[in-house]
Amino acid sequence: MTTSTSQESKRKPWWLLAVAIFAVGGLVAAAMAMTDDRSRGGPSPGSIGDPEIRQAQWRFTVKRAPGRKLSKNQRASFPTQRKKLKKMAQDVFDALFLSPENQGKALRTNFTPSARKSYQRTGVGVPKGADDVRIKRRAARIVIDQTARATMSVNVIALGQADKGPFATAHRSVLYVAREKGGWKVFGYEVDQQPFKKRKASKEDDKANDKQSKSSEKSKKGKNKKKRSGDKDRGGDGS
Amino acid sequence: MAAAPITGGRVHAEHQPKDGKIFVLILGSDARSGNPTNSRADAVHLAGINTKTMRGGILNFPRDSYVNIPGSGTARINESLYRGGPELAVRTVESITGIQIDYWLLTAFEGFQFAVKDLGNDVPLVVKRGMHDPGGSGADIEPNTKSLNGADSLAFARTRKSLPGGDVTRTSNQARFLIALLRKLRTDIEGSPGKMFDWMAATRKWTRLDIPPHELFQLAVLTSQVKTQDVGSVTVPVSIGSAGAASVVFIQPGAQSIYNRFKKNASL
Repeated sequence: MTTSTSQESKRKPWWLLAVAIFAVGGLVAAAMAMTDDRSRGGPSPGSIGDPEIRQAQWRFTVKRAPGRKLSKNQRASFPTQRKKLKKMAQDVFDALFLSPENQGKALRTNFTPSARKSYQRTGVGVPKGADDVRIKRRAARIVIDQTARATMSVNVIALGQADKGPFATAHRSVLYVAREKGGWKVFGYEVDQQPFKKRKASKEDDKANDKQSKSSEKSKKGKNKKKRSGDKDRGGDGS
Repeated sequence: MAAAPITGGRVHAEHQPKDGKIFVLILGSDARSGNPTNSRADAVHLAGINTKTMRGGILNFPRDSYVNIPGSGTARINESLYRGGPELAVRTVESITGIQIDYWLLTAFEGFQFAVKDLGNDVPLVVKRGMHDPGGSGADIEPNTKSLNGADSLAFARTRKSLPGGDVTRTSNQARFLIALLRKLRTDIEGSPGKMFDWMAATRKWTRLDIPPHELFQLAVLTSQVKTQDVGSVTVPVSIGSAGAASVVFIQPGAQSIYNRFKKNASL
């Protein structure tokens, strides 16, 4: 017995060791999964978007400009350039609205120096002290010409809290991009950023609504009449 | 350079536009078809853009302006194209105004008409008084016409006989047409920025350019960012006269102050 107990006491540390290794392995795997989530587009360091807030997905439309046919090399390069331009839009506008700390880096990488300075001066993006930013819409329409020039029309709607209170911003940028030795660079832009307002119903919409409400009223009346007639019927039945 | 309905190029290969001022000489040849350089220039306009203020201007020269053509004596300004091609026309305008020109663009009847057609065949231009010139330009434009197709655009830019001011009014009309084209470019791009490439495609189709595509793209972007209300059009002041048997117009000394202002601001 003593020998068996002594054997058990000798085996126990091995069993514990196995459990410990398993636990450490689990922790490492969990940590790796978390880092993977971040690289897939989770909140980056310096992010002002609450990680629990679900941000609108990017919506892309990419088209080829009309004109001359692409050469074989250009055709082969088109998907790569499309991917690069999509990434550019994501990098720039996610930095502007979700992680302003990365804004400088994103603009430095993707803009020519003069365009960057001028773009930064416009003060686009979220207001000072923005927090809990929620992107309601982010969409980009890209047209690529001969895989060397492109226009990019980007729309972003962002809501959140700032120093001066809640804000809602509708942003539209048109970026003019050319491919240089160092990759795609924005050399010109147009920008329009305004407080986001839900579209007010126009007069025509009002008229249409009036018509709808009138017709629905009529149909309701009709239904009521029917009901009444049904009532009568029922009454008749009842009588 | 091969003959093409529209041609264009850089004036000074080594020169880069400085201080955000760009000047383009726009020439309209009276060649019915083929090479536009073998004819006289019926339209001579110097367009400027200031990239800092985003304002522009068009300086119009009546084609009968009697000027000194470098190395070729004194003649009407339209002769400069016939005598030495667009390069001599550029040098002539440079010597008159003292402005260094960056690009030139030359179009003839064919290219002008087809380019307008390819750009949608509807240039937004209000013609309040109708134009009817069956014997000359072939214009038959009804009063209060609001947009012009290719054929009407060409007729509008050519008509002079039925206009009270003759050639001077025609020159102003040509500038109005250029501003209307700018309006169309801006409207198209506002709706969809990718339309810029439709314009470039139309340009490529009808134009032979010495300008590299990326430079053309940048110029197109720049042009599209200038509002039409920020573009002034001025026709040089002239007086009617004659040189020998030819009826000409003389540029008035007052034009010098206009040149100086245009050189300084690239806008009018």
